[in-house]
Amino acid sequence: MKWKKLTKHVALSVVLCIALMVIGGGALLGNTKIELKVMSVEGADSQVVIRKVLDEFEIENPNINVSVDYITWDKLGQKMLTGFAAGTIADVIESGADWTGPYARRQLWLKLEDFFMASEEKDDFYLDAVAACVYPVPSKELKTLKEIFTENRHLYSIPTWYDIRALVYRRDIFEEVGLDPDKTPTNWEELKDFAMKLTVTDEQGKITRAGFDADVSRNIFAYQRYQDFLWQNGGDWLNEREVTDPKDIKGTLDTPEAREALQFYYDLVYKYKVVPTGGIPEIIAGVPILLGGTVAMEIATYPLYAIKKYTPELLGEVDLGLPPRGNPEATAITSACPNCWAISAISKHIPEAWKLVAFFASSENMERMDSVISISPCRKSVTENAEYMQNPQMQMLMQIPGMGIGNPWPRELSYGQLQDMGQHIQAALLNQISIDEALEKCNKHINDILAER
Amino acid sequence: MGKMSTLLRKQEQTAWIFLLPELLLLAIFVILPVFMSLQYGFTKYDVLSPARWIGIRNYVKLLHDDLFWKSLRNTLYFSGVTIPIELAIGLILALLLNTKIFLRGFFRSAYFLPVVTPIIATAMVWNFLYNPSAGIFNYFLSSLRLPTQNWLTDPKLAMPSVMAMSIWHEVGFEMIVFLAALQGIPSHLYEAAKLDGAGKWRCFWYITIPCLKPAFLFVSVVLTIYSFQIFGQIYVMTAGGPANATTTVVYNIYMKAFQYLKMGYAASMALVLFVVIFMISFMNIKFFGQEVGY
Repeated sequence: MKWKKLTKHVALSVVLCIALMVIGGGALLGNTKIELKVMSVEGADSQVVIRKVLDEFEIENPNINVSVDYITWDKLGQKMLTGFAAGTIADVIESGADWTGPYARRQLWLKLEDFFMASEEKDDFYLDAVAACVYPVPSKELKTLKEIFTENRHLYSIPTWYDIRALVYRRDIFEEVGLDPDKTPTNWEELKDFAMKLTVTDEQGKITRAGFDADVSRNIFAYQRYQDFLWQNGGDWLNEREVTDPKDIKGTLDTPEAREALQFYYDLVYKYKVVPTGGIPEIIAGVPILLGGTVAMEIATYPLYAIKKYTPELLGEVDLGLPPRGNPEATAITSACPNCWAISAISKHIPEAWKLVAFFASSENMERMDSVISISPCRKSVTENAEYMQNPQMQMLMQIPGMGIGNPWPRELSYGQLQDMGQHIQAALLNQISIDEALEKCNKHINDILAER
Repeated sequence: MGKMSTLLRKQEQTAWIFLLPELLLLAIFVILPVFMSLQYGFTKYDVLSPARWIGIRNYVKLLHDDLFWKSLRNTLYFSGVTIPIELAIGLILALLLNTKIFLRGFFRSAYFLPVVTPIIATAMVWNFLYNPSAGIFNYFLSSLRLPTQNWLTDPKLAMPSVMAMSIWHEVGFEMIVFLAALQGIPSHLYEAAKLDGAGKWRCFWYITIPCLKPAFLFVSVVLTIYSFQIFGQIYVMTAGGPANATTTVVYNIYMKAFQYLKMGYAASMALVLFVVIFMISFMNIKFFGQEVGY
């Protein structure tokens, strides 16, 4: 009897499940709207604006529903990898242009140059920002969109905002130590002198204010700071922007420029003692160290958003200048790398996905989204017209791409691979291995990665 | 007898019906991936394109991979230090909490609380404790006029700092297991020993320790498996640095799989790790698994 009762209950549960599936399936079938999925790395403040932009998009396109999956930068790689592997990747993906390589090589991001070139607004985009979204990497000698897009070279995303870095410094701290706040170091000798003057130590000799942010405490800082010095000295991780045939790309850390850059970084820490080896302290967690006053100069983007949010009293005190050159002949001496919107090549709604990307990248919406975090835009009209861009420092920042001194991050090396280089760089900076050994390991690493393709 | 065997058969059938869903989940999400991983170890596979058979090339590459050997040494260092310390501290705490002391229940809960706290949350808090300028450890050092330390950024201190945090997080588990085992030791053994004139130390060495061997076996095997797979605290606290000083095998596997898109190579590392864990667990079972009888 008990057995019969159990069988009855199991049978009833199975019937209920099937009924629910049929009802749910019927509801889905009855829904004829196109469901677009977006993956975004924007923070909480930007998410509110993105939702408003999407609501307007849905009103203009009543047959499209858009849902957004917000993730953090450190999860981006995993989400993209597993999403593509499972076939569940979002239709529209926000990423950094430096992520282009692995997904372009595997044809997983859609080629967009046909869409882009058909647009009347294409000339409003900064050429360097667009070129940063192209793979294989175009030579820096190419000056027009027509030259950049060939049968082998394609556009894989549309730039949205621009991470441009300059020498950002505190005018009040400059004045405090007797430096002219209108004059910034133009070469490494001056950088060293300025940094030493700006460094403050306590009675025990512990650095309480770093003269310059040459942080060695984490490998992600190590490779980013080293990259700054490498470019300022006319060097690079690899020659991807110098060659036309991808087979000719190789690591270029075996050059005197690369060695000098690491030696200078090392000397800033140990010889000139302008930064503590344990890391530059944050006064308040989350507030940039420059605003906290624990560093006087750094290579960074202009922190307008953070100033307005945390330290509005410093608005007139945080200024910027061009990064110094180690090598006077160096051309691309700083980072200028855009964030971008890509479309998944396996999306089932490509025309709708392009509509959404074009909507995001319109002048009006780019201004709305970029103004939330006061970040440099990728369109000239936004630079000219947006209220937040009338800030003199933001205007100065936008001159960098136009001067041809901005460099996008390497596209032949992934973020994780650069982090691994950072381990070797950090090992040299922490006296675990010699500078030559560190660069040899990095260069071999790069060439091994390229050889395995 | 006939009725009994029918009843037992019916009970067995019911048991299998209830076990079947879980066994199915285990097969799909645990056993099958293990065999797939074994297979991927012999392929070049980036998840995004089909796997290509390359034989033992991944394993040959492993032999010459300096970072892999460094990560293995780091993992052995971590396990070699944390396992004995956790066993010792866990046993001491269990012995103390097996006596009638004031607020015994509170202390048992307090020592076990870190075990049930997510490792990521714990690691983030300890990041703050280790902060070189604002962390409490350096605050205590400076108030005692001792030199402050770069806990997570000094290659010599980074791994010991992670070890300290891991020991704090896990020792409650060992304590609970030993406590349960202590309470299972028959009291007549101690009474008989006392009658024969044995003191506290002799009772501990000749009764308590041998009777705890099954508990030692369980805890040491579980600890071995856990410590060899350490990942969360490395990911949050040090990202494998400084200068690969805290890069462990599992962290290396993660980097190769998800940052380098070398799933096949990562799978080969996972198999080597499995063999190492298996061998050490086997040795533990041999050492601690001997029967104890009185």
